[in-house]
Amino acid sequence: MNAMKRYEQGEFFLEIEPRRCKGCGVCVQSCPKGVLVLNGEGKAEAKDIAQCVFCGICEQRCPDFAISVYKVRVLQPSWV
Amino acid sequence: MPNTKELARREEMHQRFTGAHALCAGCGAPICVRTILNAIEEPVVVVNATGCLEVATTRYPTTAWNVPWIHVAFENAAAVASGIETAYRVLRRRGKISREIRFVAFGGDGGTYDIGLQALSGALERGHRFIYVCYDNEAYMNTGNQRSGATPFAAQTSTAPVGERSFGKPQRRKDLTEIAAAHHIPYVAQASISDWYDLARKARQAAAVDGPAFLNVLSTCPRGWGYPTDQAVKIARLAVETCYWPLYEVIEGRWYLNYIPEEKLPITEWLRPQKRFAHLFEPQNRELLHQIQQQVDEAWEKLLRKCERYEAL
Amino acid sequence: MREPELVQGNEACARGALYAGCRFFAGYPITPSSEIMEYLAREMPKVGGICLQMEDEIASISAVIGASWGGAKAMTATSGPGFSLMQESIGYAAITETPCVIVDAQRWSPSTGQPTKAAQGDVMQARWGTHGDHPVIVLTASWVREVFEMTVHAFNLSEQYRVPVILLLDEVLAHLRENVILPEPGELEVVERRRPERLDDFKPFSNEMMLCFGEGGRLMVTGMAHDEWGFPAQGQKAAEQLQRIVAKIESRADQLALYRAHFVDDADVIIISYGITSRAVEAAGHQLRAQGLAVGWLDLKTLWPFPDKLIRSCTERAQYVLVPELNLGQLVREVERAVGGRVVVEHLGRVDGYLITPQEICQRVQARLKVGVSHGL
Repeated sequence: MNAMKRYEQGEFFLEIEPRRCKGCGVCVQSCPKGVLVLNGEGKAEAKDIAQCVFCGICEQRCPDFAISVYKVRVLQPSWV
Repeated sequence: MPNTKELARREEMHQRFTGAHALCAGCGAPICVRTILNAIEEPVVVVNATGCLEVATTRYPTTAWNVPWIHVAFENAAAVASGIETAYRVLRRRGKISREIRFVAFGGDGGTYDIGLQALSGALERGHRFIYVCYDNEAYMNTGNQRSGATPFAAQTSTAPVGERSFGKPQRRKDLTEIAAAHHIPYVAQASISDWYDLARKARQAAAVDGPAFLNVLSTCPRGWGYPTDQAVKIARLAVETCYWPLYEVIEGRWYLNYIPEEKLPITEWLRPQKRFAHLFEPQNRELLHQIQQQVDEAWEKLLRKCERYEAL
Repeated sequence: MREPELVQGNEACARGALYAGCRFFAGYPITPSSEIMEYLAREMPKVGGICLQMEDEIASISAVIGASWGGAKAMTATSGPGFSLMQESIGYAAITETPCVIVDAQRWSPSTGQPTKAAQGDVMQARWGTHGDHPVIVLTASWVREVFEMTVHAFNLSEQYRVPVILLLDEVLAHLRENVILPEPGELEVVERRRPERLDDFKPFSNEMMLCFGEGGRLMVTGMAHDEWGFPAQGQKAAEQLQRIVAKIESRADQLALYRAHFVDDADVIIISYGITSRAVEAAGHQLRAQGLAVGWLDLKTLWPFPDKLIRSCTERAQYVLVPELNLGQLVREVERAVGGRVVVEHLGRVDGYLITPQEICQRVQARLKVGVSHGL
């Protein structure tokens, strides 16, 4: 399934784009809470979003920009 | 100096370097590039030498670069950056440009330690205000893992193969960070993709100095080094924890160590997980392991003596 | 009867070098020639030779020149961008009469181009890439076994005439694997450089005998214009040396001309090609002949010095000459020059990174013959 995976925890969101994910596993290794796994298709997914603290390490480490971690809010660009 | 929240928010608003490139799964180079480009506050122009990064991020008909980007050839990233930066200074002096722009050159170890060394040295000596980033994966990876001046002692590569008489590369690697520091430029730093915040801070520091800055970033390569793709950050971390790749800065000629491991791991911890060093664990090569440990220890001691102790922010 | 083995073009080149007695290789990684260096990194030490990976191509050709004066048969291998970097020293090798072999596995160019796509765009550069009047021999090959043979031949010519020899391959041939039976030792001639018998009045730059370092004679080698002793020279002396060195090769254009000719004697249409394109020409030629057309084809192995006489004699009775090449028109200019307007010469180029197909060649020839070939076409 190539659809974007979106996980929620209150106003926090974790999104994984399988079309970008190359299944390297760096995010799985980096997660301090063990939230992420590689599924049967070799793509990253959250096995237990309740454990996630939304630190963003997975997002920052992903070589392929496949993970997005954010809180819903109005974005106000402070720089161009 | 940046904080993690700010850095995360910046990237949300504007991705300077994007995904869907063709770099291998688990490659260290994109981690290096995205961290650095995101940390720099001003607009950037990127100069890219031929290599894995350049080739895999610009495959027809796409590009992963959301900033002005130029690739000229293999050996001249620093020279091209010199030209751009000089033209920029002239235009600023004439009042034609008012914005602050930063110039970042990316080259692999092949295009920096070897064929690009001349251009780098010239640019550093002339004092251009630009940041040269070497993403060091310790071999010519794009062309199939040939040895480079950055390949470590006893590593296996296609042109320094392991055999009955040969144990891999017989020469030690160059210390390019030290070579850069010997040019007396305002900022030199050694960083790793394992220490993300440290790398981001160094990028911002490099952007702030009024002169050349050089960043040497250890950038792991799962295919060339021979380890599972998910270990990229872990392997890079082992390089730091074994003191094989110390994190340090040279600011206006003064050396500062950024990280001293509480427990300095034996170099075998760094060597063991990588197939390119597998032959070293055969009984007849035990002496080589001692040699390597000795090399690391001596270099570490020397670095400790050179540095004024400094706690990382 | 020996079994055929599956051999890559680059590997055939490396093995040909070893066969010819090459014991020094200095090179630098570049697609599509890296495999030559990788093979020699493993095999050269086993025969007591040295394979060095240098820091760039300028260093590579410089090391090759040094090794040649040290007495070894020396080779380097590269592609377009590296070939450009080597030009200064190729001229040096020409004027100092240094035997050496330079392999250029051509890729789509110019600049970085397309490293994994074949092209034939370095033909003129191979002749004129370096500054000044200078001699050079340029060979090429079309089949993997030929790569081996031409590499050996390159060394032989280089050692015999004390001249740099360039072997032009292309990305497809370099990476192609074919079933071949490569020559056994003794099957192909291997030429050694002639060394002077007496040293007392030997002039190191007067003929094809070569004195090397460590052999007991006084030797000075410089790229400055020099006399027969190697001392810097000017005026008439410099001119004499230059003329001798250039004539050494240019006067032998006929005997150096290697080629394969098929059905050229009675042909109305002659297709002249070289390198990888000759494979398509072979197929096209047979197809056209099967249709009853009097087509002949000439597959050139020696590109420089350009075989003027051969071209003229082959095209004597032709009405139309076609020169297919993977570029926008390089060797065709030499063909035009050689035939001197006597017959129509046309270029068939392709620069989209793909090979010229037999179909394209057939279509062009058929179109021309249908319309009729006359001047002013």
